Amino acid sequence: MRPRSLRAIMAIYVSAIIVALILLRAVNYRITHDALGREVDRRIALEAVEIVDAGQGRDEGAMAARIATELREHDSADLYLLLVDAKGRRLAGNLMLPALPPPGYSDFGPEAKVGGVAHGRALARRLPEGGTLVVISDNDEVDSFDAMLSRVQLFGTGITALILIGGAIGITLAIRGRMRAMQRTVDAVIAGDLHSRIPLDGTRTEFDRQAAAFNRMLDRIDELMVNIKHAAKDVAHELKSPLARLRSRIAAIERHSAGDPLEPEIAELREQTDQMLELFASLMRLWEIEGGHRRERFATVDVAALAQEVGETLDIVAEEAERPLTVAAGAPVKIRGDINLLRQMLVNLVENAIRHTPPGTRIALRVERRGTLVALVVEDDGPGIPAAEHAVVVSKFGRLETAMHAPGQGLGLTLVDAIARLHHGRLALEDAGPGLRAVVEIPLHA
Amino acid sequence: MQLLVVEDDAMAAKQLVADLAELGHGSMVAQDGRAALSLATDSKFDAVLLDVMLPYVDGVGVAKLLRERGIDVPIIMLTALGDLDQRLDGLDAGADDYLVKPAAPAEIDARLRAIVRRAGRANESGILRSGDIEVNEVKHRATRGGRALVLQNLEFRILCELVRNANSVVTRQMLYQTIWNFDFEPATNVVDAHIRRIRLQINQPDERDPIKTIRGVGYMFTDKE
Repeated sequence: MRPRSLRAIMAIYVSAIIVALILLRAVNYRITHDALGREVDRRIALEAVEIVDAGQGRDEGAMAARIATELREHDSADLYLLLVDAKGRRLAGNLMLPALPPPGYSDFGPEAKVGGVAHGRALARRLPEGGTLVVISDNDEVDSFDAMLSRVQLFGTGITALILIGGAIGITLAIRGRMRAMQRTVDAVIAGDLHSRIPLDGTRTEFDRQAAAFNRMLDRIDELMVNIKHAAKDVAHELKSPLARLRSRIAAIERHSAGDPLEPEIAELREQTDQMLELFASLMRLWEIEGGHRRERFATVDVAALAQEVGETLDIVAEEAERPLTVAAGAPVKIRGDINLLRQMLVNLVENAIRHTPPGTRIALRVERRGTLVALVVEDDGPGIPAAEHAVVVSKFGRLETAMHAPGQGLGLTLVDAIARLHHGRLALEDAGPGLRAVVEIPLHA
Repeated sequence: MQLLVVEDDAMAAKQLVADLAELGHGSMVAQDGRAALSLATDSKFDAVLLDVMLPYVDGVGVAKLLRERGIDVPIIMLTALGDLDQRLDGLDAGADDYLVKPAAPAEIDARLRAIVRRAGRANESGILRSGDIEVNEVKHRATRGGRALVLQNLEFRILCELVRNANSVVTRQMLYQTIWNFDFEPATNVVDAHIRRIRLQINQPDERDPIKTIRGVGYMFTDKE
């Protein structure tokens, strides 16, 4: 699977760099270490060659003299020499060996008990006459240099890794912080707050410029929305006036139509015009709510008392419609809100239950405290709505096929939803098994 | 009634004057706030229909200035839907009622009669009487021909409103506003259901029904056939 989160990408990227860094440092160390070793070998080989050349390979006396000169002339504290004859007798040198090292190059440690040398590199050369020349280099300094080199490499790698990880975390946090700010704004806009914008810090960085561009886009959308709404409002007003005049003419005719054969037709016409006027009223109410200005008029509202009042109002209507209504409101529950809109919301919810259920359905209106929320619940035991269609009935003009014959314009639940949002709440439709449960949750302290 | 129509849209004003003439009201038109103020100060009108959006002085300002000058002519504000602020400001400024434009002439007529009646009856005791029905608003009691009527709170308040406006139309919209504080029209027939209930309570089988249904508009309480 491809990594998608910023954190995963950063982690993989930083890990790859750190692995590469360790490999590079390891190779670097290896090369230096090997070069040092070769330098030691070259030095003891050169020494051996000089001594052997002094006796042309055969004259052990000349070689011993050369060794004595060497040891006397330069103070080679880290170089030890030994010349033995074919029988193993010591001829010259400053080295004490319990046993001769094997011919060629070899390394030894303290277990070899070489006098005065803990760690060293030895070169043993067989001479044609049967003797052996041993040249030893004391490696303590080389080893400590080597150890220091590896420590420097380790330390360097660690510091670089820390800088990389810290930088990656910093970049991730910075990007994530900006993205969260943007996300919050997008969420707010989706929730209906069209005036929400990403906060800018004025640094003119790429983040800030991007946020500013995003804000300009939101401004533009807002502007277009306002234009569309104005156009829609103008159209609605232009249509509403002649429609209202038409309605009063029809109503006037209706008043004088008693006994006329066209009387039912005229009544039907008037009802249809009424429905169209209601649609306009609902649409304009919806725009008014979505505009958000009614928040400025918020005051303390006891929703329990309001539910009682709405229950009292609709009790007779529900009873006549044979859908008995019960109200369970209990103790006062106070929120900040617009009492007229909250009243309309409760009326819409109960009316919705009355209008879209068969006779005999029981309807319950409840006010429940849920922690920091108040839930206004309207529940019926009617046929309900399939869960897949819950979103349809809340959307503008969303009506179910089965409800097309019922009166109304499909704005009832849209209004409820808009009023809930205005109060920082939400409308949820649930399966009451059987029946539909509409729940509006509103924060007690918004 | 002699009315002052304050409306800056000449077309709308002309239509309104024609509608009001059909209902038997004479009217004068003022096209801006200043003209409205001088006309209302100089002449006597039975009521003022006041648009909110006006040149020079807006409707709220006109209502306020008229009240400050001690002119207590009934004022009905005409507002566009959605302007809740203006509606409330208008009532605060001294207007008696408001209507959302475009208002049906029958609705305007009913409001005018209700306001003029209210102004005339303001200083009476809490007892309202029409025909053989008497309601005591203060004691929350109603009788028909001396027989006590059993009414729920809402039913009693609706009956009071009908009796107060006896012989003129009380529209459904008026009842929604005064009885229920609804600033919207519900989808179900709330008013009709309550009126049916009131009729059951006040009418014995052999009695005349004093509540007349005015189709498409509302109800009218009548004291005679």
